[in-house]
Parts: sequence; structure tokens; C-alpha cells
Amino acid sequence: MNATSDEDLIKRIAAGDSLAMKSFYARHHVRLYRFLVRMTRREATAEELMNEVLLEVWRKAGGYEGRSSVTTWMLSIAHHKAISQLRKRSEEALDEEEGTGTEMPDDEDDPEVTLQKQNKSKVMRACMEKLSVEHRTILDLVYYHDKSVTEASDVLGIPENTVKTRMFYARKRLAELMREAGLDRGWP
Amino acid sequence: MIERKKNHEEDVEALLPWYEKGTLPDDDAHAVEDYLKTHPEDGSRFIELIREEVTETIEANEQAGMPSTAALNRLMESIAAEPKRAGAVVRERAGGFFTRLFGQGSASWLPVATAAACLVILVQAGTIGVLLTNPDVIEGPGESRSRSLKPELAGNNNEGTVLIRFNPNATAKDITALLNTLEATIIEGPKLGGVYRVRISNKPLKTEQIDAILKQMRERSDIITDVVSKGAS
Repeated sequence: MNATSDEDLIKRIAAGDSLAMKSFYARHHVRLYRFLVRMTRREATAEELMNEVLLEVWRKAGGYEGRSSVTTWMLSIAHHKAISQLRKRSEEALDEEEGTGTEMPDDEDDPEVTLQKQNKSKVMRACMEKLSVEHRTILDLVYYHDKSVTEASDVLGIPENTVKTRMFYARKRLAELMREAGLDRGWP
Repeated sequence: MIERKKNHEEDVEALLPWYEKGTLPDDDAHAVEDYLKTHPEDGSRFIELIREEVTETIEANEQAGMPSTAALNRLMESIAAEPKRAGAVVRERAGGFFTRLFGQGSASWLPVATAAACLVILVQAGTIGVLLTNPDVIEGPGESRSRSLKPELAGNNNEGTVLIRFNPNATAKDITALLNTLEATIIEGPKLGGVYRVRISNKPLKTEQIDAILKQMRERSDIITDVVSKGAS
């Protein structure tokens, strides 16, 4: 038996079918929540935003035109809401999130990284957490949410070429952070 | 010529993450495969680096955990508070009009739609004059005469329900936010006159607890114009 497609669920949601909304929730809420946690770094905020996004899906299902996949459409709503939320935070907090050149403190300032140097996986994940929100988000979209260049462009609202360069610089910055943490990947 | 070739290689290298994930269109994927054939060592090294990044990105996301089990209930309560839309089962006598009106789309329509809907109903019932002097007037389903928003209509106090009429200028977002704050849920409505039955608790409440909730509701006249509960002050 074929599973109901996301597009079919959206059509039913547009007609006011709350059962379809529950199915949609069951199918997508975990990845949506994780996307928002990774962007906002706050679980309570992410859960609140997740419900706002899904309520938006409920309200706007009738306007979904299928120009992008349902998950791309949903993540673009989520991205917009998360960015708005981040902007509401204090300038100081925003600078911390969006800084591109000062995310990585010295090893002396981050003993956790120092202690984990022997564990490449943990070091890489720790360095990923040091990336700016833009760089972390592009990695998540491509590597976890399996978004193509075009889809990532739709989610982020930026040109495709910018998606490619942002991905390149995210990976480059990750390599630099790992090098600073004592692990040289040999690239770039 | 050499510069152009180098630029082309860099362009192709930038596509490697998508190639590894299998999300490249065919022509781009062919370009990457050509590159990998001519640069086997660099290519396999880059792919290996990307696989590490993929593994750790997935791990990092999985460590982000799951939302609480209460999230779905909150979402469905918010949805229940939304205006009904075209195609949904309509129970109210005037529901067809409401759904056509509300089913047009965005929440920005709500204040206008609500006001217009209430106006039409009031004209039908011939109660505008009464309402102007007595805001507690409603009409129940199937009833043809006006009546006050009387406490006995609000149901048994032990059910923790109240009757509410929302301010026509309130947006769906405002209404949802207030209901969430009060942990209240719409369980019936709109009845004629724009009246909703709202559950304010799943367990019996003392009179003073109900009064406290009613007080909070009455303080938000920008969202709720009338509220009453049986036996409440």
C-alpha cells in the first residue's frame, strides 16, 4: 500500500481535515523541531516555533502551490520564524550567533575541546556548534535534511550560487576550527 | 585557459556535498563524475571528508532530541480555535456562511470576516438594537428570539466551561495566544451570535478559581467582549 504523499496530506489539511494534520505532524515534527533547535539553540523556543510553523501550515495549506516540496516549504517558514526570533534577542546575543570570525575561542577558553582532541567525532561536533547560525544551518539542510541546491535556496531565500558559496565557506570554517582545536583535516 | 580550468574544478568541487548526498541534477552529477575520474586521489579524499561531515551532522541533529509529547495537544487546541474553513464539516446553522467567509485564507482576513459575519447574523436575528443596549444578548442554535448570555447556558460549573463572545477586532493569533495562556480550549461554536463554549479546566474548579479566570478574561476586552459561567460572579 502506498503511503499518502505530503501533497495529499496538504490538500486534506486545506480542506480542514484535522486527522491529516495529525498525520503530517507525526511525519515531520521531529525533523522540524531539530531544525529549529539547531538554529535557536533553545529547546523551549524551538518547540514553540515548531507549533507556530505547523499552525502556519494549517492556515496556508490552501495556498500551497507545489512549486517546491512540502518539506522545503515548511522549512522555509521555519527558517523565517527562527531568524525573526533570533533578531528579537539582544544585539549582544545576535552578534554571538551570527559572528563569522570570532566564534571559536582559544583552547584555553574552551577546555572541553582540548579534552576531546583525541576524539575526532566529538571535536568535529564541538566545532560545528561554534559555527555561525548561517553556516550551521546550511550544513544541516544539505547533510541532514537532504536538500538540493535549489531546495536550500528556497528554504533560505538566497540565490543558488550563494547556497554553494555558503556551503563552501561553512566547510572551510569547520576545517579551520578543527585545525585550531588540533585536528588538521588537510583541507582546504 | 589554466585559470578557467581551475575555476571549473573549484565549481565542481563545491558540488561534492550534494553529489555525495545524491541530490544533484543529472548534468551536474555527470560533471562531478568526470572530475572524479580525472582527479581520483583528490576526489576520494574530498568525498571522505564530506562523509565525515555528514555522519557528524546527522549525529548532532539526532542529539537535538524530540519535542515534548504535549506539543501535539497544544497544536490541535490552537487549530481547534481557528476559524472553520470551506470543506470542513459544518454543524452550525450559519456555518456555511462562516466557512465561506473564513475559508478565504489568511488570518489577516479574520477581523473583517468576523465582524461581517456577526453583523449579518445580528441583522438576521433583528437584535442589533437590543445588543447596543445589552451586550449579553445571544441566540442559540435553532432559536429565533434573543436571549441574554445567561449563566445557566454556560453549562455545569463542574465541567469547567464558560460561554464567550470574542471581540470582532481580535485576530486569530490574539485569540489563540490568550486561550493558550489560560489553558482554555474551544469545545463548541460558533453558535449564532458568535458565541463559543470554552473549556477552562478538565477538573472541577472552586468558585474563586473560576472567578479568577473570568476576571482575566474580562480584563482582555480587546479579545473577549462577553464571558459568563454558571454560578460565577
